[in-house]
Amino acid sequence: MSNDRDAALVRECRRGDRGALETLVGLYEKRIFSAAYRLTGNPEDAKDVTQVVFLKVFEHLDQYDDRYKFFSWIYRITVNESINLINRRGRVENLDRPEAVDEIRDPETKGPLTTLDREQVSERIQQALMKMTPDHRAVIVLRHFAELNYRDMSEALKIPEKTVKSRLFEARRRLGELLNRSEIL
Amino acid sequence: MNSPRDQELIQAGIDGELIPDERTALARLLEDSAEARTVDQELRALSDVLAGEPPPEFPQGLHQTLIDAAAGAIAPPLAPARKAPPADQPGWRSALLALRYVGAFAAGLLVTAVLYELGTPPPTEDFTGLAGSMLQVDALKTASVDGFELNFEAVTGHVNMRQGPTVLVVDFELDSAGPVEVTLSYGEEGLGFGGFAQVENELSNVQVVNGQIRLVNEGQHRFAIFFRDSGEEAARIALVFKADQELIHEQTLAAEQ
Repeated sequence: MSNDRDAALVRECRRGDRGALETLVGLYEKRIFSAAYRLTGNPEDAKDVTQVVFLKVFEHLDQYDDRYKFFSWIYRITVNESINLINRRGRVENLDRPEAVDEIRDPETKGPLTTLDREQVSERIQQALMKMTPDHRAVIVLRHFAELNYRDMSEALKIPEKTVKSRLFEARRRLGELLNRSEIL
Repeated sequence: MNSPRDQELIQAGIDGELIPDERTALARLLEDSAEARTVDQELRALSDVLAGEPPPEFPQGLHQTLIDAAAGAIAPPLAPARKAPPADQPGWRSALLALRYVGAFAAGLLVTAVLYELGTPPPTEDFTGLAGSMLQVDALKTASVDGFELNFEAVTGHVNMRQGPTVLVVDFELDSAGPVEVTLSYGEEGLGFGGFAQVENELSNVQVVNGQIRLVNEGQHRFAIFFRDSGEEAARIALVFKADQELIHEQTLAAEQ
């Protein structure tokens, strides 16, 4: 992700260059959809969030400050919109409690799954993510799926880098625990 | 238990965020502490599992929807002659629409005129801040055909349906302290989504998906949703109001053929 390139594209978009707009959308649409999917746990919600994110980005292009990274800005909107959407729908699955772990075991046998195919692994990883707090989920998504470094995460989440590190560590331990109990780790 | 400093050091090693001095410190830590080595292994295992995750399948049609929405959002320089959205294309239907850029019909007139016709009576004389759909003058000759009052703890106000030769308008005036989700189901038989307008540009989005329109009202808002009406059959629009996922009210508005 190059901020110089992005900043140049934003400038061209502001001048009305449709080609630049299409390039910028093409560069980020899959990443934003992917992050939104991991944050909301639902492809339809992720689609909605992605649309809102791009709408907001382009509506407020004139407010974008190119001293900051474009991708930090767009990821910040993505995180906020994803959390807002989940809250609006009252579907906060913040089940970060020990008993919730049982729910990601084999629904038929109630025991741990012995052989998991790729799809099952993905499903259980997503279920585990949805059992985390939104704050924890956000740092995991930005680090592991969006591949932002600490500084960019700090910018995207508007929290100090030190908080990013401690929150990420806590989130990883929690996710590790959840995946361990579901036989993924 | 490793100290927070040790934890961050181990984590930074995995994330490639170490500075040279820290590399030495981490090497020493891992050599001296079995607990640190365990934490390091666990975090690496987690990173490996997450790295193996395939990206979700990107929805078909979303790319064009995003391009259209983005172009609409910066419409003045990009698309001065903005065309009406192709309401019957599935890809477009699911677009979250920037309200002030939703074109209802090809030819236009200021929406100021639209809502002047709608109010019964209009709650305010000043519609200069309106943004949204545009209709031809003839299409605005509408008559009230149905409506109801809302008088609930979560939301109050009224909804009025007006019908013209080729248009149906559902006009809302709502007041809710918290978010109230409003869903309109129109089934797409004889009706097509035609646009949206509001007095103030405060409602952030409207979702139009497969014959359903969904929006969230919070506070006092006056807005209207437009439908193209073929007039071939009686039109029915089912409205559902929810707050905190709880049903507040549901009612169907109907207009004769």
